[in-house]
Amino acid sequence: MPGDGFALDWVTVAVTIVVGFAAMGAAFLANAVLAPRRPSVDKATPYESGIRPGPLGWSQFNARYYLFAILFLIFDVEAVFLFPWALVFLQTASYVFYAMLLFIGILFFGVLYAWRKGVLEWR
Amino acid sequence: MLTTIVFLPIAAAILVLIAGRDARVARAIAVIAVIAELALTGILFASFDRQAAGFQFVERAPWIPAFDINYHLGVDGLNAPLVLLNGILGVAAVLVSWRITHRAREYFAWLLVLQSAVFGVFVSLDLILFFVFWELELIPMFLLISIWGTGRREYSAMKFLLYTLFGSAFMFAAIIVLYFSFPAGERTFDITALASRDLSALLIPTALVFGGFLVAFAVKLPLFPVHTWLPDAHTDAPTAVSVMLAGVLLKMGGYGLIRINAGLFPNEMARFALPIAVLAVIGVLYGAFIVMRQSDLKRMVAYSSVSHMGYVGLGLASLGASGAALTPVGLQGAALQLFTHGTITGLLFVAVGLIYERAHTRHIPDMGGLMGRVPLIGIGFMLAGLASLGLPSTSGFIAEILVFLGTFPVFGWITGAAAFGVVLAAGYILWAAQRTLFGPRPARWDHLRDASAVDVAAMAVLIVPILAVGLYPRLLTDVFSVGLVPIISRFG
Amino acid sequence: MNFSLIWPEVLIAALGFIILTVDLVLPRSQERRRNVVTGSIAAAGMLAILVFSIFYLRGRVGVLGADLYLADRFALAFKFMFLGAGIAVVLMSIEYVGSRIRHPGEYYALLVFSVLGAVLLAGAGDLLVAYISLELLSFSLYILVAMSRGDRRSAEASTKYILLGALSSALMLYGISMLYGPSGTTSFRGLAGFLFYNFSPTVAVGFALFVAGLGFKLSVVPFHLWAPDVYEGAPTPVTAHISVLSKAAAFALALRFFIEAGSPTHERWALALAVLAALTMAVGTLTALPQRNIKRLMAYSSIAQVGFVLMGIVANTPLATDAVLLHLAGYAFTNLAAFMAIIALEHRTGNEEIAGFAGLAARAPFAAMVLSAALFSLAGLPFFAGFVTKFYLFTATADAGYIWLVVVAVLGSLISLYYYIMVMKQMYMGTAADGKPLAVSRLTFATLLLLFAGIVAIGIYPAPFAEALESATAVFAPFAGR
Repeated sequence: MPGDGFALDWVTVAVTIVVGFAAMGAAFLANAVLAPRRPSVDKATPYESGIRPGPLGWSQFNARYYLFAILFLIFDVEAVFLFPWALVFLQTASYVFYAMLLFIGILFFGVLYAWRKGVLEWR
Repeated sequence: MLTTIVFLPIAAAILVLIAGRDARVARAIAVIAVIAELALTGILFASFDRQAAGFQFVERAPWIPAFDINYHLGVDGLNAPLVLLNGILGVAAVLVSWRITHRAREYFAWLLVLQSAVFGVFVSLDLILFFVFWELELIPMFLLISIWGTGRREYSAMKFLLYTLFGSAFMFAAIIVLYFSFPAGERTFDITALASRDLSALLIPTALVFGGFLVAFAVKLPLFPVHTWLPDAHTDAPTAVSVMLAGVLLKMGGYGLIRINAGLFPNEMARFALPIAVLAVIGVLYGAFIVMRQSDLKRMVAYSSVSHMGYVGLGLASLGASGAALTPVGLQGAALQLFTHGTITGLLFVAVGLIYERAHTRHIPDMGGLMGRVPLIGIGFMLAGLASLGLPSTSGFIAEILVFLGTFPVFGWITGAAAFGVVLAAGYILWAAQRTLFGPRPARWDHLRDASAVDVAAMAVLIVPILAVGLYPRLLTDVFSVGLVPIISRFG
Repeated sequence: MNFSLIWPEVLIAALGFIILTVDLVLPRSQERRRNVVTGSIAAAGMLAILVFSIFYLRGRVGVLGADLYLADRFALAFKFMFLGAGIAVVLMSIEYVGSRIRHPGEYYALLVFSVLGAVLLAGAGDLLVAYISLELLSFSLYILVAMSRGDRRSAEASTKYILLGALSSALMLYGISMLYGPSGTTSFRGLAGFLFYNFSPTVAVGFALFVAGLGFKLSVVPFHLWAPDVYEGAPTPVTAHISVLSKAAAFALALRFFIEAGSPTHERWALALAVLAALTMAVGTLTALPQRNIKRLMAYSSIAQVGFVLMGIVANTPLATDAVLLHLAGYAFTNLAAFMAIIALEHRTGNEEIAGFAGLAARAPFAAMVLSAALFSLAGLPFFAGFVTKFYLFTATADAGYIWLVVVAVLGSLISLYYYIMVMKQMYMGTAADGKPLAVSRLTFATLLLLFAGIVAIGIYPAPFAEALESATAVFAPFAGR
């Protein structure tokens, strides 16, 4: 859409915003109008994953789970990068190989660091 | 030479901060610095070529090349005497601060910075440099009044700061407009270059630019009705600061009016001559009447400053209004008044300060008969007072007579009214002297001690120029005429 | 790919890991020693890299990949600024960290990583490189903000910072995707031509979203609400770090983006950005007026400063770009000096309220003087950096025709003088409850002196700085419309 005026573009921005809000409102409205309502105790609970939640929604869990989750995530992401790399590194320049080595090295350093700092010990 | 004059006090201030842990050391450094400054400015004044037109001792170096801002200093007949004046008052100010002990190191450092800033204002030939020094003076003044002052010092310091900032905002706007009024490549902040330009067609009406400068300088001078900061600042400032304030800071306003308002905008000066003259004469009379009502000695001197600086405005206006019948005498008088008022009021403040230091009061009705106890201070006060009311053979006479000679042909009635101010001055000065120095002396003043050698020295530095100029005015008038020629030549 | 161009960046990264390793090796019991050792390594390492860069990168300029990463004079100028600021922040941290932060090694390593993020940001020539660098910078800062020991405000500040930062990153990424979609490129230079011919609504939305994301990082009004809380809650050296380094880094990106990608379409975004600049100046200045906490005051004052700098980006002339760089340099010295002095005073009095600064001029005259000088410089009073740099900026903006913007800026500067003076009034005229002199350590004294010298040097003789920065902005000479 070349050459149209400055003002017009920004009008379209405004229109986009309005349409965006309208679409959101419409979705909520449609939900309110169309959805069947058969409330039950289980449905009112926060997580419908088959298990009834604990005594309180605010009950605390050990922060250590969180650390393990993060460590797991790091290596999960590492794998995501490793698979495509494994497919192409033979055909590409050698620095790609070293780049991945460096990447793994940094992650390895992270594990060492966490280990040394006592994160892996369950106390 | 000029760079040394401008920055020597700042260098001394740094030295004071480093070495002046002991109040006496700080004081000694300050005294040496200001005496060296006096010597330097004396040499400058003596070696100033009174025949040559234009600027002398010019120093010029690029400062901010992107906007063609230069470190451009120079003196001509107009500012050379003012530089000398600042040298003289610096000595007086440090000498009257002899007994300062409260945070002495900082005190002397700020006093020296103040002197540097004023030198900078007087010799800058670049508008931005001028503005920088103009603002630099605020910081030491603000701190000096608010830390070492008396009474409602914080209020007064803040009032001073706000008034000046208010004025300088207008000035800065005017400077910027002046710069942008020319096409790229011809833009300049140089005062000498602008003085030869045609400034009739600027971005905004020239009158507004003129007004921007006028507001800044009128606040500083001070011109009625923007004078109200002055009595407060004076009353609450320590003696030395009052001396500097009355002696040189007000002169920055007068200098700016002559150098920039008259020097760059002769047409506007002519157009607005009458309103300026009217405001000036209101200042003269209003100030004088207020003085009469004062019971605080320092406040009295402060209002007398308002009154006397009105003559500067009057002399300036006379030139603008004279048109074809060009009378440069009035402007000469105004310029001379800048110098003489500096020394005279400086002396008055020194004397008042010395009295206050001893009596711990400035309340006139409490005093009386002090002449018997403190004759030296009394003599100083009387000399300054007499010069202030324009007694012949003192410099005050010469300046005022020149102003009247210049203004009478153009503003007959206004001059007549202003001349009444001299009568009032005679009245209030003599009345004040009678109530403080003469008459019966309350017993509580019997213990007062007269001025020490240092105090006498402080007064003497100021008395010498008062009498010298009074007896031999050509000492200054010659120099001023040389400096004013290029400005006057643009009128008419 | 000529990787030899990014040796300084590699070394900065290595420095971060070295600090972590040293922290790992040193016995955990000797907390004091760990602090001093890791801090010294951080400062000395960055200084060494700075010196190395000066010699190594002389005459070495180039591009990595297809406009991915630009190792040019502009990036170099910011590299110096960031490393210098980083050193100053480390120096002001050492005492503070010793008593208030538990993990010194991680603290300094994160500082170094954030410097790395900033350095990379200045060289980014591509939206994605810019995004990753910005995230590296932001993540380091999120953690740094939270590091104050046992201070709930610090945790609260960090949470707010993370949430709003994540929101802004998302906005930015969304914007990038909308720019990439139609154009098929993420390089600034590639986008420039595309934007000129195809400023379609999609692209406009993408552009706006990207700018909004950037606005969060810069704390441009109306995206500024995180700033006061984060400034107040963060450990004070980190506040200084955020106010100088992350601001300057985001501006480095903004400058390059708007010049390289935006120059041809200048008239399309200039007005919108000008309005944002005016709002930022006005809101920053006015909301600073009632502040009682010095760090909150500095937050609002830095928001106002952002508005000033934005003017230079709006103007988009070579002179204005020079002015932006000069202002950022002067601002770095000024704000670092101000925070250094605030830390020196606050650390000993334990009071962040402005009222708590009463009488400090008598107790710590040097620190009070430097703080006053810095505040005067922020207000733009002559003889300090602020005057000259603001003068450059305002004149350049007026020169480009945005007179009304300059009028707002000048009014803002005048108003700002009031609240700066209020701080000085407390220091010089207030009386302290406790009149004992405050000892300022030799390190603090030397750093303060250095920063103060910088403020005065730029204020008195800016020409050499300006010239050096002009050679940095010369890289933008070929861009259209300039």
